[in-house]
Amino acid sequence: MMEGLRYRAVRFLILCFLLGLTVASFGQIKGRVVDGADGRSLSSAVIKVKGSSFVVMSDSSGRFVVPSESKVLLVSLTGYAPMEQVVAGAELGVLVRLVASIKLLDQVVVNTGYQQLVRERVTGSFVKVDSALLNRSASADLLGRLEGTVPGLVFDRRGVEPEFDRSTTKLRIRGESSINVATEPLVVVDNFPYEGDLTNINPSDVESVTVLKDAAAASIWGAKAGNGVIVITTKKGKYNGPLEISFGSNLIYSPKPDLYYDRGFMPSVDFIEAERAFFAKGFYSALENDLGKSVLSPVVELLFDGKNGRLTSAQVDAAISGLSDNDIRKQANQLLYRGSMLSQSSLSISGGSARSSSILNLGYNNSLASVRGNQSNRLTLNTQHRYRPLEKLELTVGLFLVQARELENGVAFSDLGVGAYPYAQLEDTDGNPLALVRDFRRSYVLQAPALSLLDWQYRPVQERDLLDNTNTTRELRTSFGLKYGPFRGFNVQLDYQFQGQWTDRENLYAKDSYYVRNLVNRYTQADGSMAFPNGAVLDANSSYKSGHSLRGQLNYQQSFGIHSVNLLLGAEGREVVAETNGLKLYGYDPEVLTFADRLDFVTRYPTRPRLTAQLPTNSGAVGSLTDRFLSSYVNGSYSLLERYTLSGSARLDGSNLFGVKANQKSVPLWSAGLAWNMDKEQFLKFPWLDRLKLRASYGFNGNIDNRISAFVTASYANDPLTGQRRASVLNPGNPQLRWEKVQITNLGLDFGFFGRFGGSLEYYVKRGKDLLGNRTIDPTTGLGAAAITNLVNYASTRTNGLDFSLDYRSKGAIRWTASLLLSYAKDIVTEYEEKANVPVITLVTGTVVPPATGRSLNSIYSLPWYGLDPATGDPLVMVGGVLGKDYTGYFQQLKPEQLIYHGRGNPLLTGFVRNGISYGNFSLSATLSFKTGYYFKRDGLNYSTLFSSGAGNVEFASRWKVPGDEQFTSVPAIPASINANRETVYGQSSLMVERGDHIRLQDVNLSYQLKLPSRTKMGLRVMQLYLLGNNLGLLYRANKLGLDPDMPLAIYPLAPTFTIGIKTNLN
Amino acid sequence: MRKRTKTTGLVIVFLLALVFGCRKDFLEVKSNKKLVVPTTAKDLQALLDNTAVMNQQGDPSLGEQGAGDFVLADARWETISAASERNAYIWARDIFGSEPTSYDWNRPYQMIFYANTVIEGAQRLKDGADAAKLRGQALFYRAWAFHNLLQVFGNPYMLGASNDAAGIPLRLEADINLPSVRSTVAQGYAQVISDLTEASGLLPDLPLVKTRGSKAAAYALLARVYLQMGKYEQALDFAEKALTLQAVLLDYNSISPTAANPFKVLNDEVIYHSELVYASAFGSTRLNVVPELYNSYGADDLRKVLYFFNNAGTMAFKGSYTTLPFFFSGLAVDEMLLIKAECLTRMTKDTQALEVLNTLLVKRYKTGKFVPLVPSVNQSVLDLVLSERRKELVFRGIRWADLRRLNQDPNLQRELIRVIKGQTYRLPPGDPRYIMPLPNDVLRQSGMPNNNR
Repeated sequence: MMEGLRYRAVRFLILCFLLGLTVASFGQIKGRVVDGADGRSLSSAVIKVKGSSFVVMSDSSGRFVVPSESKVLLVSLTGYAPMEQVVAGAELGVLVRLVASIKLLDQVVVNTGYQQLVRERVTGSFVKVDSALLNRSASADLLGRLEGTVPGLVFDRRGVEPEFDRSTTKLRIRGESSINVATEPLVVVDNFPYEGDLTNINPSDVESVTVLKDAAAASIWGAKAGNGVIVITTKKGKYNGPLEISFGSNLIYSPKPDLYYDRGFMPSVDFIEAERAFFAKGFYSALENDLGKSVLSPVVELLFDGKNGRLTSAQVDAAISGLSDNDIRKQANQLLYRGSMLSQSSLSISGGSARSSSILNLGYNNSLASVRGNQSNRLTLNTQHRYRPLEKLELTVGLFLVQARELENGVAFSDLGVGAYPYAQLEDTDGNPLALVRDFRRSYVLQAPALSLLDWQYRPVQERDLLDNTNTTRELRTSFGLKYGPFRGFNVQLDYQFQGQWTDRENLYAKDSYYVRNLVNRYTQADGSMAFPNGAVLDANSSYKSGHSLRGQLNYQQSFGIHSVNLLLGAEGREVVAETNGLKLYGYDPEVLTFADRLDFVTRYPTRPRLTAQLPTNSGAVGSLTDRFLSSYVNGSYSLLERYTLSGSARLDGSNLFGVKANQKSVPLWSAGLAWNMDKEQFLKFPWLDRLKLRASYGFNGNIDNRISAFVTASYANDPLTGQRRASVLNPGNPQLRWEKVQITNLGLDFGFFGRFGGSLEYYVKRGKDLLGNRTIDPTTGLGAAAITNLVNYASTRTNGLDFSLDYRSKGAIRWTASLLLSYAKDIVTEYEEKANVPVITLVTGTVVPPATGRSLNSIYSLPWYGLDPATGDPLVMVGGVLGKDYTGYFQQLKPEQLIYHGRGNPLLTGFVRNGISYGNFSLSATLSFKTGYYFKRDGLNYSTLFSSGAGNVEFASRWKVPGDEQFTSVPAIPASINANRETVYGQSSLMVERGDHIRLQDVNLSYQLKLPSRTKMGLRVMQLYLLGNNLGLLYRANKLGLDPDMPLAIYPLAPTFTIGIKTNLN
Repeated sequence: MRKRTKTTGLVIVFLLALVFGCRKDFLEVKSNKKLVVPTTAKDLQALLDNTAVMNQQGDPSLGEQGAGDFVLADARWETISAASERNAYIWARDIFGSEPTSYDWNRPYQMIFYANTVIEGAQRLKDGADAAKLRGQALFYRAWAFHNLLQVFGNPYMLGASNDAAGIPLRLEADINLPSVRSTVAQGYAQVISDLTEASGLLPDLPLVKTRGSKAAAYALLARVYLQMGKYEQALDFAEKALTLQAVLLDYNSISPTAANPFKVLNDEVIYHSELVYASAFGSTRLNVVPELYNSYGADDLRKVLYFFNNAGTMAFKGSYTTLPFFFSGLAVDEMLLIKAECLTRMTKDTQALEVLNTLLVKRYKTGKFVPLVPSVNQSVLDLVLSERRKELVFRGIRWADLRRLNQDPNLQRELIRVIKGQTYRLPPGDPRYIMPLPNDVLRQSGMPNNNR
């Protein structure tokens, strides 16, 4: 005992000596500051000795030492009520139990993925979202729950088509700062970059999410932090925590999608009118005897029957008018869709003793998607344990398992293909499935039985049962951690994580499916032999991704009176291997697992209705990608008087960027920051001022692209002509290749007043430097032909922005809470070579608009609109100052300066307003979101696509019909002949550009919370019931057409969701 | 304490070792297994075996579009979307208009880039046999591309002249940073001949696949080049050498006239496979072979039915030795026979020339219907040979070069005439419009002088 004490004293002395500090060392009182509620050690508490100038701070394990003459200590810590502790005579030590203050600004600890930082001492831009805010929303995926919680984090849904895939939503932290490389943030789960599918993370397992926005916050992530970092921390058990069981369940319902939203769908009457007009003008005449048996609509077939005398004109008219009452959307809505239903359940058990803590989370989701036949389920298990076998040693073990299964057998409206004419029907009045035209004319397809071919008709309602498309995902993540603190304030940490994800995608087309029947028929030879085997087709693809990460880190954290130092030094290595392989079997028999394995893929067979072709290849695909990173980093901060903090960070990254010379692989990225807690200054000691902090930071983050290389690189494939192995040059080699850099300057002000208001304001400038841009090159070099890009580090961008958040919380029996979030980001391209070899029209029609110096990366251009020709209703164009209809000449002379530049395609300002009111056990809150300062392009009537694929527009009804109509309408008349250029003049005109501004009712949440008094025995403590509506619709939109500006081209918008849920807590 | 310092020290050493010790090997692993830095013989061969680059739709076709073997109806001409294709048809002074770039230029130079990459890679190979094989093939491809470019973008080779007019840039290294400079026509031909001569010493007699060069192909191309230069003895010599290695002709009687695509790709007659850059005018919905040419095929001439078909009133072409709608422009045995025949008659060996011609034509006529040609007073043997040359090699990209060559002889000159929308367009012999302008991006990026049309 004596020896132990002596040893401690000696150690303390040596330490003080080493650090050149002297502290009264004889006759001390030792103490420890803990959380009064859970016994957790509290670091950074300020301990003042009453009546003296002695001040000290508690260390990372809450411990402190004061002179023995101390009588009373004043202990304070942000987030806790200050307290006076009498210590006179407490030679054996003192335990200070601080009680958390119920204040607006609780002590916030942010996790960078490398360390925990107290918010008071951070210099960078961090936003932490806790589990309460995450659970306010009931979105099935975690990232969706971040919407409206972090200023500067914007969800870009311009590419989203709810019919196909929801995951095309792109996340942007403070805009885009790269042109050709990824612009999405890095996602970190439990301290390591996450390589799997984020939908595999059960939101109820998550304790908090921290978003790192500037260089000081994110540069510790180095070359991957260029687009910001999202750090996800899962729940852990607490030491000395009671056994706690919580259970939650959500039922989320979403009504059927609104098929009537799509303006591209023309009512039957209009559609028939268009077809009759096209027929009268002879547009279909080339198809009448087409050897390729191209598809003709039922109406056009009837018109041909009338023309050729097979039917009288009265019969034709009667048949057509019979069709004109049909509306395929009615049957599609009924037969193909349903209201979607998602149930989420989670169970969590946690607890801990002095030496260990554990948590076990189980989650189960079951979803019936809105397209009938599509459904999925997911089971997650997550368990984490911490042990402290010795005081100085902590071991952690975590295991995370997921199994998700998805059935995708549905036939959606957009799967119906060209045959989904507005007047087509999916089943007859008796409920028998009807066929739609699909690949060939109906008259040709109907001959099939007579020619001893298989039935060649496509009946969508039946197809659902003939498909078996299954996706299975399994994920295993396991982590081991070791933390050893040989002496106070110092510890060594080793962390290892393995992550494996197995994905199997299996598409089985039954023998009777249209897919198989069509292939068999097309390859049936004149003698009746079937070149394509008449059996099921199995298409199976699997991928395996594994990641190993190992990190070693030294942490040092110490306070010496008014000084406190925080240092961290570490290194990590990381390997991610992704392997894919696939196979396709023809003539497959799922019963006995046989398949056709002697097929001739070389011979060109005559195909029906004409031409010859080889059998579609069934060769599998194999791929293997390995990404390796090796990094070392150092990070530190120094605080004086808890008021002034200086921070710095530097990191060196290396990767196996293929072909790059070793000495160019590494890039040093660094940052520096300053913070000033002004509220701690005497001259700013006002009773109403809770918090005032000024922050400034500057530094560099990186971004990488592993598709390009310093050497000539090529990729292999099989040559279809010769069967030899062939190589294609992908990259001409660029010895000057560097990583992209993002330079960020950030100024921030955090504030809190009257115990009710709180918030922050941040201004930032992000400059993308050395960005990879395409550089035009003399094609004589051999790089003029497609597929070879010449990316060089020369482009640059600049984004200026503001992030603002303000919270208000009233006091009293009826409590009102409000918060406002604003994100303003304006990006421009500051250097980019004007793409002289890109045709001007791609600025207007391109899916990716070529960047131009001085303009936003997401620019919207259109063609000027000169009105309609009063005589014919054709759109007019200006060539050489003369209005006319020389469309070809117009596009040939078109110069970029003739285009109209409208502005940005992504919002300049995004905001969220949340208001809540609570009384007793009830609370009600609602979130409004708005976006402004941007434009989008809608679709207009295009006669060319209407003719070729049936994609029209409701505008058809208001088209130009007779001279004089040009006064009232801009919709062109039916053309004399199909001319794609004419359609582009209207379809890409300034008329199609709409303002994107809108206000959306994002959610409404009503909850009832019941708190039961503590009892000695285990029992129900908290029960919460809630109702939640999400995505409840637009309250205002600038466009007059009822379009959702977030997804202007979707055939229907995201449906609202309604949730009923319960959460209970037992201990 | 000492023990602890030691522990800490060890940990630091471990961390540093982790960072710096294994750094090199750890980061040397290939990121994508399908990616290669082409260095081995296998890699280099695979580059040359990329038929999409080296053989398919890569030979300039702007000449063929203006060579007068087909006509377009006004509506069919008008609806061609590419201005360069419309302009090439009417021999406009400005071909490219506002079109930024041209496949006719880019594709051959892409072949040259691949070939140069392989030539340089082969120099670094340890195995001399592999290196020689690869070098031979690459030289052949390079000569092929240079020769095709010379026929379209270079001044014509003038028989018996010094030929120091502008030819094409001869890029002999893969380095993309080297400037492009136009050399003279004479230098261009000299380069092609020297590449082919060296290649013929390195290549196997016949190739593994006909998309690769071979001795036969190098000889065949040399025969074509020397014929272009009016050096009939050499042309005859190389045509005969090529025929010694490969002389099989397809018997057109064994080919189905009703087939949509009668000739198989890489068939027995093909010496080397190559295709023209596709042009909209070549499609069966546009192209209409000139009646004068169509009518020149005799009633028993199988080429009439195997080469052409009536597509809604116009005669479209289906006689390509590759998969339609693409046009074969490679080397084949029939061309060698025609070169041989032309050289023989130009060397006043008419009887032998006719013998050679008869060898070819007997395989082109219905069995038993072919009457062997004999000397006649009405038509010179040269006329006969040239007429058969045009008929046999129609739409193979050869006619344009032949016009540039034959128009130098006053007896063989012809003016081309076309009428579109009531306007008559003419291309007289020796007109500067027989030389295509350089594409816009080439002019801008390289600063090379344009052709004066």
